[in-house]
Amino acid sequence: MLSSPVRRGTPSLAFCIGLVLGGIASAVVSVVAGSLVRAPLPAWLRWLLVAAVLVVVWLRDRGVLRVTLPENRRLVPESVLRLGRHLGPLQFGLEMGTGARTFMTSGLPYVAVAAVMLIASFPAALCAGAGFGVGRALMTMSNLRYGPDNMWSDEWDRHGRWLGVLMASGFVAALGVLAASTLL
Amino acid sequence: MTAEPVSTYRRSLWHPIAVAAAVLAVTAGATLAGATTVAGSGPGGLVLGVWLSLGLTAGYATSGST
Repeated sequence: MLSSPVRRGTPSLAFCIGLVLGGIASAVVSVVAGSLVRAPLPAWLRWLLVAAVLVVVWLRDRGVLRVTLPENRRLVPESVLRLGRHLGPLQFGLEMGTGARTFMTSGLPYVAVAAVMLIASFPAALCAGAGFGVGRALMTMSNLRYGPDNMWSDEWDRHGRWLGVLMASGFVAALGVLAASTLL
Repeated sequence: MTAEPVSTYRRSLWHPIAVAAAVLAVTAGATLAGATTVAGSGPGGLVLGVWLSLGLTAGYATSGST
């Protein structure tokens, strides 16, 4: 994934900017699409739907439920890097940042999309999208600074179970506060 | 002689668990700040930080390989 043009200097910055822009683009699409369907639904029902998605994703990630969630099971083609030293990584990042262009290795983004579609205001959606992009960019930056190819990913895989639990805990805590801010 | 400890220290900062701890620290801070809004003592804008954290944790959680 982190091929040579993206590995160093300003191209990696362009890649990270692309990730953030991609996350924001997805959030904008989600909140606009969601605003069309959520208007007649009361807040408690919208939160109930988000909770249902959370439960389905949790059961799926634990292997209890066999559900195929929408996922583009392809890598971003490296041909995008031909666009140039900065435009190529920018587009590569933008496509990855949307979360709709390639593999999705966690179920949490699906819950985030449901929350953005059903609950978020437009500024809140922008924040969630930017946060998603920054989260993905953290992986890129850490990977580049940690060591040679795949060392960071190997470490992630070694601790993947606990890392997943930690991220899910933070995610659910944030979701709980958002639910309280809407419902109380 | 001196390069190795610096390198090891710098690497440890970017270890997946260290980055996860930083993400969780940001999330905890934003969530607590957002909770003050829910309790009625914080400005409404703090809730945006909770949304940012929601995206942040979801984004970093996708770091695993396929």
